[in-house]
Amino acid sequence: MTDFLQLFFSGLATGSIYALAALGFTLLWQAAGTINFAQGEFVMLPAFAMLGFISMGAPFLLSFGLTVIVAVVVLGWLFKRGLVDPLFKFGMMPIVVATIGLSIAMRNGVRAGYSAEAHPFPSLFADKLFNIAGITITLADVGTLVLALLLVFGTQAFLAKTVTGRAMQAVAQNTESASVLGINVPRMIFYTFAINAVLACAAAVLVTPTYLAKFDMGEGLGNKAFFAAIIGGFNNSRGALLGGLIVGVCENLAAAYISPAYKDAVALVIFMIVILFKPQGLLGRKEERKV
Amino acid sequence: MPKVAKYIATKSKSLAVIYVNNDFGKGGLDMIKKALAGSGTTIAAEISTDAGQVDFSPAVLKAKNSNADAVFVYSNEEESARALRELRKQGWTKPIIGETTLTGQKVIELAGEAANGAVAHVGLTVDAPNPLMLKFKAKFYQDYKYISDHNGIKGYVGVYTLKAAIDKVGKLDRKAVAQAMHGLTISAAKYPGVLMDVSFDANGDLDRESYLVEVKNGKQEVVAVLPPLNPLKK
Amino acid sequence: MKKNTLVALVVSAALLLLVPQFLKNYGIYLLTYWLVFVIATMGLNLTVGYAGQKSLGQAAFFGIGAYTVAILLKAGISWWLGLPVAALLCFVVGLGLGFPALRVQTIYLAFATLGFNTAAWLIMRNEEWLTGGTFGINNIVRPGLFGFSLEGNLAYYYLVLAFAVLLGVLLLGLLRSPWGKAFTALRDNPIRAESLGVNIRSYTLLSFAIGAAYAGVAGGLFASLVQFIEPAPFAVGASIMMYLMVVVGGPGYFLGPVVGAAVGVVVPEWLRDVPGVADWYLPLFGAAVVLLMIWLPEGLLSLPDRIKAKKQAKEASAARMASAQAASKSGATS
Repeated sequence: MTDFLQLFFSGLATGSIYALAALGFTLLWQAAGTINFAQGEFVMLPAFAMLGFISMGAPFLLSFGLTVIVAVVVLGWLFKRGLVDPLFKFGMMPIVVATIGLSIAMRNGVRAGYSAEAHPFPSLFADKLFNIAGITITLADVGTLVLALLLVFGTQAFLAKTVTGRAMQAVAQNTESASVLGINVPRMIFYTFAINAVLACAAAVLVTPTYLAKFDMGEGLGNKAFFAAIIGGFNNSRGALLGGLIVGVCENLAAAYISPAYKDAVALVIFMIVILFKPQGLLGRKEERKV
Repeated sequence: MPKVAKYIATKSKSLAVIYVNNDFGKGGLDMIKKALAGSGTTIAAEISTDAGQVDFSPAVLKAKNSNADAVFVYSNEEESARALRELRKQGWTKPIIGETTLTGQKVIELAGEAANGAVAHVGLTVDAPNPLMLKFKAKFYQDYKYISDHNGIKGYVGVYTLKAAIDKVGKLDRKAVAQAMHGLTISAAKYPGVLMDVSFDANGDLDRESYLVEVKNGKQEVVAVLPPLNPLKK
Repeated sequence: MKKNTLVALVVSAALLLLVPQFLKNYGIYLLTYWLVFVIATMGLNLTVGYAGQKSLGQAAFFGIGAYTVAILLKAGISWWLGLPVAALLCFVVGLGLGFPALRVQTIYLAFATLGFNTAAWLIMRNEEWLTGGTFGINNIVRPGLFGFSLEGNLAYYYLVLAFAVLLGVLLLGLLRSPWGKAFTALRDNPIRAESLGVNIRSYTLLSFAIGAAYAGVAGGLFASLVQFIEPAPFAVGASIMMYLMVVVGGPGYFLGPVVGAAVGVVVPEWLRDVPGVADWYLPLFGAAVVLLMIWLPEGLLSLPDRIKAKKQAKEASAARMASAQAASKSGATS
């Protein structure tokens, strides 16, 4: 039984990492109709940016602040103006393809321009271990889970309870009516991208200590994030959390009890089952399609 | 692999093997199994892990549950670091043994504290007390501005080894050169590019001087020099 | 056909037949490699470009084709028998992959095919008894034809060229037939197409199946070209590259794959020797894809059409201006 619990709690820790990546993905889809294939790389870039600032001598908090600013400008504003705005009128696939190209460019750009090796990343949490009833958990595991929960519920609350958040939702649901109502649509969309950039920075700080900063860290993370987001429900922030946790836990259980070699198939299998029986995801609302 | 097997046989009676699921890792698993056959040490568990795997808790749990009294870790840099961390996290106090990668500088950097105590059989290290090797270390640093790890050495030595085999055959014929490498002996005096005398047996396995390295306080320390199984007559 | 097209055909035929005679082994190998990918992306172009489906799993079929031919060769079955078996197997599996396409749309479909690719790759990697796992299958022979051995690089190139031309002509015929129109109807507006009597289900499944079969043939040719296969070239990254090749060339343009495969396969090899650029090929490719989407979202081959459309628009507005002036002149006098 302790084995199962150990795997369960480790899975929750890994799952909260997936959830953080999935959260920004869900948000961009919900509020700006953008599928961002480069979401993993959006977490990788702030990680390297922080390493860069730290190596220049800035203390941790300052590096984080600077990274957030850089991220909002590059991954928020520049991404929106340079890529999403020109392509929005062509529909979803050109944006998807462009973000695929972007992910390749970012990943290999870091590899060629910075380093192909993995680098250690300082952790927000001290290296403490807790031993509860035979299960070992690190402070980082608990901290990541707690912060992920806070970020998810915080985002959810922001979108549902604040005026800006409601305006962003209005823009997502019906852009024309929103602008008729006097909402500054371009600004709301920009806020979405900015929030995604900040969430990506937070994710970077929480996941990179375990993942280690490497140019391809975004690849696996991005993939899992997509599946987690869809499993949980594409149009719901809590869905991202649920999807991520489910994937993390099931992977560990499958690796231990079924076959470690097919661990990566777990997310796929759950994904296939979900889209065949409940395509809007476990927590998602049914979306109507315009014909 | 035979040398590390000998070392393992002195340290444990049952071994758990954590390996990465690709031809590098599976090759290592096959070799350690072969090397330990008939030694009195049994393989308690063969634990497959993925390249790029982040969460090693299932793997370490399996190792613990197999009641092995030592674990052999055969994977790439990041994964080895994560395995070491998870072993430390789950309170593994028994020997952790590996090959060159496990005590490489990169892994020590990535695993931090968790790397201390790991022991590895290192075939190639720039710190080997060998004049050709030290010259290589200096030239590499001059050209690339960092200290080469075993991968750099392997790349360099590999090309010269191939050259020696091609010289023996006389032309670049895939099959003939591969054939020639089996049973080939290359002396460093004749081919300084190979840095150390090396010979291949009939199965294509390497035999060369090597070292036992332990990580102490975040640094690699050579704790033993292991001569080749069949030393070249000088 | 038009004189320009005829001249272009003759020139390209001459180039394809004669240039390899002057190239060394590496050049011939590269051209053959390119042709193999042209075949694979031709199939993907049908699925993605003409039928509008979102398939990110082409590399899986590529792999299934390659492994089928290789495994059958090891079992003693002739390559000429193995290849159609591979194509048939991919056709059937492609039909199977089409089923999720009936139930889910666009981006979900893309992820489903991506998932399929990962699953296929996992099987290729893990099931060592069948595929050799990560050790792969080595010493794959090249076929002989009527007693001639095609083992040599140049001879094998001509074989692959023959296949490429044959499959290309087949595809062209398919696209020009009513089937081709049905596929494009499926891409442009499936609901409307259904209301016009086009059987959406069958055509969706068929577009996947035919695309897969093409990749299967390409895979078999690939296996004998490289003479060693392992799971790596059949992973998701390869699928994404193939998809990008179709997009860069121009989805829905018949020669799109020719251009796209050249950009995806040949250009990086050329650049490998250019100092300073070699490492940056992939970042530049990625950036180029982004720019391409912004400026030329229909692919490189849409450039002539764009220029023509601009010219026509200019002429039309000039004509409008002229008639407006004429009308105002006559209007002023009346």
